[in-house]
Amino acid sequence: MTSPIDLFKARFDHIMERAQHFAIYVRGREFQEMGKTEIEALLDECRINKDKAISSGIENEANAFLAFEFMTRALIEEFKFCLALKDDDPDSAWDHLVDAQNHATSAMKSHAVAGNLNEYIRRLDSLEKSLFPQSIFLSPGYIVKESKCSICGTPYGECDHIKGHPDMGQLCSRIVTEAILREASVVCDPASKHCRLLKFEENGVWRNAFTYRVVKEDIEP
Amino acid sequence: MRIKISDYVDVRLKAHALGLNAPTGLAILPRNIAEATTADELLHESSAIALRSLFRQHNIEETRIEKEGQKIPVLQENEFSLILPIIFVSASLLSQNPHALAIALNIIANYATDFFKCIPGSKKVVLDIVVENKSGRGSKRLHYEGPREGLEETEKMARKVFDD
Repeated sequence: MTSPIDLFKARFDHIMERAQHFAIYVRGREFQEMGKTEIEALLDECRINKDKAISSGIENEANAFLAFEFMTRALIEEFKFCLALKDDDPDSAWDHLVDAQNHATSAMKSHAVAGNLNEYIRRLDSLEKSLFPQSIFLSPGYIVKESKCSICGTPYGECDHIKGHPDMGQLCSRIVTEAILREASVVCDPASKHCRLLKFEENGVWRNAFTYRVVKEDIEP
Repeated sequence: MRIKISDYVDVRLKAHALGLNAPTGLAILPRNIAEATTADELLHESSAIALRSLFRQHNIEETRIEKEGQKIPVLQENEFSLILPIIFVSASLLSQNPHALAIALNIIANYATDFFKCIPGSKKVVLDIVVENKSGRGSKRLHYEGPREGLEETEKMARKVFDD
């Protein structure tokens, strides 16, 4: 008998493959808008199936649909990335690309149905390297006094949930509730690529780190 | 050489001086236990909490150096590398249960694999193992810094340091 995961996967792969034809920069905007809308509808299906699996207490299915959900989100972000580039908004494009990378990574952590995303992740990585200048990242170091588990809400470490591991349709994360900031370091390989320098000063003029355009000092680029 | 070996403090004496439980088997030590002058200064690596949960789930017995109700804060550094906590192994554990360290390191290696799953780019792991001397007084520290695949070497090296 075909499992609900296999049944859904066949349809999912078909829709994703079709949409991916348009997640390429040079494709027409109208096709990218259409692809994004189609994938957003698929995202709703993933969520509904995941909720059903959670209600029935079927963990393997719940985690599989969580992985489908993350894969769908990754492609939506990739469409947004293409559209933001077309809007001449590389700062926003960067954020969407990083979100696509993060969602793809989360999908792989959630379930084996997303086990074949290595090539996709490498492609996103090569887009980052070829389209953007080398960013300067900041990494905060802080002392966590109190934190809790995102799944069960108990102090993190007292339950059996592990950060980055799936449990019944959710990926565990540690929610920091009390911390003391110690320092912020400039690093090449940050935990979050969203933490980067947005502008720099050159000869008394502030410039956007991506576009090189002059930005007003008191306005965020 | 990716593993550096150096002398380390007598962990039992240091724990006693800081008002902590003296470790008797396998223990997760705060990153700065050797330098701290009071318990208030102590900090755990952020990975210490996840490893503690994994040890518990795999029935690995760990001596908690924290007294009942005592909490050691966690240092979160957000550079993308996996900084593992200091793993202390007592002389009695290494001589009476030679597989315990290998099992613990296997759990750590699997955790590192999950941590870096599908992440392109550099995947640096940092791990310190503190091996108690056969006499039960003083210890040696093995500092490993390198790819996840190299973690296997640390067990052999820890055993060699203990046997020598």
